[in-house]
Amino acid sequence: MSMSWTTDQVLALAPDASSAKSGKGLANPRKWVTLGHDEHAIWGECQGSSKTPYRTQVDKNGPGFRCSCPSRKFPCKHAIGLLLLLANKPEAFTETTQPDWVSEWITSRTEKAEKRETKKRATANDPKAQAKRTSERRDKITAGLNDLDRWVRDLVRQGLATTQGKPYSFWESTAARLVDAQAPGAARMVREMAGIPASGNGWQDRLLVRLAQLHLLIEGYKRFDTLPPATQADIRSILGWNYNQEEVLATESVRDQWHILGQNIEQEDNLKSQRTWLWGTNSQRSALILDFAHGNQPLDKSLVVNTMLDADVAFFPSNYPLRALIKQQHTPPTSFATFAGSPTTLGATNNYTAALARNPWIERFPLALNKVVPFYDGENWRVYDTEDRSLTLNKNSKNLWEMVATSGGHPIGIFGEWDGRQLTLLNTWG
Amino acid sequence: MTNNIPTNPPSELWDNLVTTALLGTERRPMAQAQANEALGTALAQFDPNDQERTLLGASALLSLYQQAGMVPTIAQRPKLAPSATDERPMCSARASQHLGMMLDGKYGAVLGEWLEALTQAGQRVPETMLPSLLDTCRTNKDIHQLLHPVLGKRGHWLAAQNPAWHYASINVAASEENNDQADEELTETWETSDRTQRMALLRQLRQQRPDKARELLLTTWAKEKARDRKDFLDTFIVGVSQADEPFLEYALDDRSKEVRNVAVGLLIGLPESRLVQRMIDRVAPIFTYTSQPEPKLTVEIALLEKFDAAMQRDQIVETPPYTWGNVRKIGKKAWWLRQMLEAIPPKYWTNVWDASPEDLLEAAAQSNWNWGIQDEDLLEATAQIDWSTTILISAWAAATMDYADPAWANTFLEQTTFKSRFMCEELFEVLPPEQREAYLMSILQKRTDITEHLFQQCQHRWSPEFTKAVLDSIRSSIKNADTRTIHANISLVSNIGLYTPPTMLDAVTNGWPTDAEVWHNMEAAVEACIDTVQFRQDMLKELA
Repeated sequence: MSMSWTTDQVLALAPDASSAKSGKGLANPRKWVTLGHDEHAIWGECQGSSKTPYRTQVDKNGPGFRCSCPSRKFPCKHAIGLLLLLANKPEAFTETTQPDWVSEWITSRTEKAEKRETKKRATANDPKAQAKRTSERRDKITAGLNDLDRWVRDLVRQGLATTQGKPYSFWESTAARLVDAQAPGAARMVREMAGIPASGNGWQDRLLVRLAQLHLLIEGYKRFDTLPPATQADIRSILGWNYNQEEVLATESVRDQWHILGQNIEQEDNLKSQRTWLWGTNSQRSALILDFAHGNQPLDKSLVVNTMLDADVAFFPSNYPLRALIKQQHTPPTSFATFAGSPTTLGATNNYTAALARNPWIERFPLALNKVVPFYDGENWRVYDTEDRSLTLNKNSKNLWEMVATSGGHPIGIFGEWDGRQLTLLNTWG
Repeated sequence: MTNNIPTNPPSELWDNLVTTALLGTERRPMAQAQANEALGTALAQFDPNDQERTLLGASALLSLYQQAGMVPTIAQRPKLAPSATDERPMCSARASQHLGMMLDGKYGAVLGEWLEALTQAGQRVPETMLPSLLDTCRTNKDIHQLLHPVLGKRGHWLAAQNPAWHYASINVAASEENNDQADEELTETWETSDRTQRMALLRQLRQQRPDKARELLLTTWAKEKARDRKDFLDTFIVGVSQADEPFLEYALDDRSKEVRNVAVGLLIGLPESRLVQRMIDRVAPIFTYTSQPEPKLTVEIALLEKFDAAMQRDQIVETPPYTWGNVRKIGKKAWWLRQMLEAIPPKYWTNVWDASPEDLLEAAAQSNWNWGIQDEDLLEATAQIDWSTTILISAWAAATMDYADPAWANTFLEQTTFKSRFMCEELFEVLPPEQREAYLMSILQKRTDITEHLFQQCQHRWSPEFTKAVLDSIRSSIKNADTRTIHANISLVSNIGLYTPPTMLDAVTNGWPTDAEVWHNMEAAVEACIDTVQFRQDMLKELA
């Protein structure tokens, strides 16, 4: 029996608020003629407005959705309703053997997945063509970063004071040139600077830090060929020159019991990005699984916080590998109740220091603290460890009061993303 | 991490770099950055002839140096006593999910019922649900008293951490044992808490130990601001009794008019109070009642003499408002009379004249008013024949509400001459649940108009018989395609969902005339109603 979804997880699958709402309305046994589930699939026949009931089915693997209703939303309200019902009233699901209309679909999905896999392998890149593409991209980036180098030097020669009152286009045109030069990561760094001159006290410090980071990237790229592969990889990743996932999956992987410690979802324009943080209990290392979804597409919900995964994880190359892919999951996830965080804040920030020493571009670092007491002084959120050392929490974190409620003034475990100044809270253990 | 401290602090070096960057290297050339140890060696690598590169390189080096070297500071930890251990167990994960659904809004209307059931089960709310529960209930005052048993020690502790939740931070139940130490704690809480907390404390105490609440308030009464005195006294509406009378009588001499008004409002309602006795003394001589040959009242209004200081002290308003009720103008004496009549328990009249409310209402219609001297303000008003009767009837109706007298309320509701819709609702409020149901069932039987607004007021747990009567009535009007009642029926159906016994799920679910012409208008409301009853059944089962 695999993990079942919670109400919140189901609602997060809904493509929009109205689907979530209609789905809630359908989470009612009286709407369904039949209901069933087994370890692979969930299915039900929903009596809608038409004569024949809609057949709704969910493949737990993936997950995948299918419904005979005419809705173009994906997943449709019937699938949401079906999953909500399973979360709230599992006893209503009386069928345990897949009817034909379910088993046929599940089988065809499995076959298709296998075919895709084979095809992927067959069309593995021609090494010659790949080498050519790589060399072309290198040239473009070199030209782009040379431009950027002049732009940065001009800025500090003329003084950062000149940026005050510059229009957005000043930053945006530079960023756009970097996108053309196939360095979207560098473009993002420039765009993020645009708001700094108007961000109030200390803006010049913050802007100089960001310019210095760009400078570090430019200088690093100048001697790209002389650097060890792992450093090259870090430079590539900050440039936004991504590795092919197939290549990563082909590298050696780490099998471990992975705790899923926390998840952070951000929405920018039309793009949702999800960061899921794993901790390997035996390997004692962190892994970061990224997922992106455009528009109404759902994010991957297969990684459930507070569960443990027996899986092979392949890391993207880096001097301090964090980003990773799940290559293979051996058993369905199980729940876990305790975790081993650092007993002191100093121990945790020391890990961060060590990581930064190997990869100076780390923006977010996973920090797990074991015995801290949270306090809110009406303005700032802080946690104190047993040595009375304290860290500041990002006040825009979710569930800060839930953390205080869990603590009740007693030490608790917390997990979050550390950016060098403050921690964005992602999980709490009582 | 290196803990070596350079002689030239990096912060000074950094400030120097920022200043140069801000002004630009062409205006302010780089000074050679120097530092000790490894940092100094690294800084020395930059070529001083390439100003920009040196500035940017040194900045990259130093900012990383500082970022990597950040050490969590040791600071005085705020003093905060941790929350004590809760003996009550937390409710199940399933029950917690039910709570989550109510807090999300879908079943918010049945939260009170769930909280009561949780109290009955001797359980408490899980810690992680406390913040959203405290947020949701903040503006819903009706629910505050239901919260305390289920918040647990953790909940009260948490509420004290956030000023927005102070309404729930005080727990009187914790010091319920009537011992000296508990009382000492109460006194300390009363003296040291903020306004919201003190209000919460009084509200809770008035429910459990009203005398203690009064004692506490008395200890600081003289020092409180007028606004606080008024609000504190307002809490006495719960548990008000003759024991409060001396204090309330004393408050009639308060400096603040608002406080005096609250005190009078509370004294009216205490039949034994000196204030009510004074009202009776003033009014009784004016009326003469005779039961034969038919019930009749004689009113010698001239017996009311001058407006005196004692009347003023009893908060009788001297000057009548320009418009009042249905009457365009009212004479001064009639105005005083009305105010005094309102303050007298209606039972007083039935007792003293040995007559039923029916007799007295009839007598009011037959009353003979002797005005004595002409009251100039009355000229216009006396043109209306029944207006003096209206004074009497509406004053009695108001007194019926003040004293919550079901016998009088029923009499008013039975007769049709004088009641407005507004009066109906107010009088209906006075009836206990069984009498409300009986009254409405008789209306349903007579098949008169559905008095929708009265059903809206039936916010108690309905009896099975009443539920059945309501269901039958709605179903037959749907069957008869009665389009006029659709709107009323829809709101009635949603009340069925909220107040019917959840054990009647089958009766609520089955038996709808789904092929009726107007069914499509009702379907959504009926579905929602069944859904609510189903949810209530589930949530109560989980707590059983």
